[in-house]
Amino acid sequence: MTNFPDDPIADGDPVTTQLNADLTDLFAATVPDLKFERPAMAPSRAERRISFRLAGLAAGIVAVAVAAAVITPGLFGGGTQAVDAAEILARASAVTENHTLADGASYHLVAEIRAAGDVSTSETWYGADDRYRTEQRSSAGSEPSFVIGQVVNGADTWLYLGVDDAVNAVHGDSSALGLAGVNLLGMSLSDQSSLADILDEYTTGSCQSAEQQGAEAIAGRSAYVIVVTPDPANCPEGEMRLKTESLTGSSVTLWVDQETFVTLGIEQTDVDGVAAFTYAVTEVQVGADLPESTFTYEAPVGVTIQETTDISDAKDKLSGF
Amino acid sequence: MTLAAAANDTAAPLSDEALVLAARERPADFGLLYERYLPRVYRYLVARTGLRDEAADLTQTAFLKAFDALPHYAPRKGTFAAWLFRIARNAAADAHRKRRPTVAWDGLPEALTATNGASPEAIAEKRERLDRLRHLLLGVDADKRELLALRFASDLSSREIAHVVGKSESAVKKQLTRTIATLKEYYHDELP
Repeated sequence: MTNFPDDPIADGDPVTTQLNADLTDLFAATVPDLKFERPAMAPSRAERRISFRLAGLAAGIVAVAVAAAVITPGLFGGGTQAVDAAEILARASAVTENHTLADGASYHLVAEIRAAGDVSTSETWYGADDRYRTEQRSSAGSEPSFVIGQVVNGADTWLYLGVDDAVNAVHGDSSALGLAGVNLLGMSLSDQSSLADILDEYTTGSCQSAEQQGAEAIAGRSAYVIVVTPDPANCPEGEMRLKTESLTGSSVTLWVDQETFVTLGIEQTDVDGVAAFTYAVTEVQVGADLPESTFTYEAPVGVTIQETTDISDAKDKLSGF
Repeated sequence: MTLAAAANDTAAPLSDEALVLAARERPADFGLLYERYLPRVYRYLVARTGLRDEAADLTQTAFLKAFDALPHYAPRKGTFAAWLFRIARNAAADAHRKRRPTVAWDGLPEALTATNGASPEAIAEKRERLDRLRHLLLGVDADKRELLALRFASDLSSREIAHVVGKSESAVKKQLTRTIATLKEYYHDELP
């Protein structure tokens, strides 16, 4: 048993020491030979079906969904290389926590996403930590067209995925769906409340460094400009360091609202300095009066919202066209 | 040195956070976190459910959920251990709601490992002591027993336990101190 500093169960009394040892023994159990079946190595039947179903979609959906999912604080440790369709949906639907706007204000924003030559629109309506909606749509004329969205309203969460005229939608308890992270770009990913917090957020993991490089106006809002670069010298030795070294020359520039700390812009460049992904807020209204209907999903006529109890089942149902 | 070797190098083991970053990059590396935490998660779930088979299923469920959620684990909000055990706790609570009217706490495993090499008298004495302690634990309310399980089965610090159960660190310390003091009082009376 680990001895922690200031441990409330360690008072130096021999009786306490004996009691602690006996409690440790009492809770000991022989651990069976359990093997973890990693989905990435041995995809489940459902995941293979997702992969098959999504394989036919345009690269635009894939690229945008990947970009939306991977632009998180683990920019370089997290990897931004191409991944397969199952992983895309897994990442796009992965659980995230604590969407918090520093001052609790509601807002609505519209942004343009450019990735792999495709353009899509992202829209976010934020009412509170547990009351928001995000939606990402392909640009007009795209084939196939797509929309992917998430509505969270207290205990209720809806997820929907539309491809051309087909729509699949699921509903479940927010605790079960775990605030599925569909298109998080318009959200604040943590309880950032200062520039130092933001820099700390993007430095976490030690394979990258972050610094402020001035301020600019984005969609009429004042934004910090923060540049994140790979930092292999501060990376643990091994594959991660090698991977980080290979990314030297690339960077991610972020524009973060100085008042709300919501991300207003992202530009990711590759090792040659070429922009590989951009996210740019074009409209933003802080303190927007958002109608209640925003936070309830109304399925299109003919579409049945399927109930789900966990995120894996949700992914399966969403992709089952 | 490979990542697996570095992770197991007792002289300089990789931190959980480094392994998380590695697993995000290469999902197969999640296996290193699994191996590191399997015993602690399983023991906690045995203590929580009282059923080894159910604990084994829940252990797998918890790790799969953690695997799915890994891209969104944020180290600045708490340790990986606290984050993982919160997932395990939620998995147990979900299963409890679905299947079982009560949580069985009387299925705590028998402790045999600590008796290796001891005399028959010492073994018998220890078994007797542990039996008494097991009965004492039945009189402790479920919330406090869970704190004990998180401390002794999962080897978490008070700060990590606080993160798992959603209480303040000081509240957890206070409860643990009181629970140990209460147990100690009766345990001391019953020591041979």
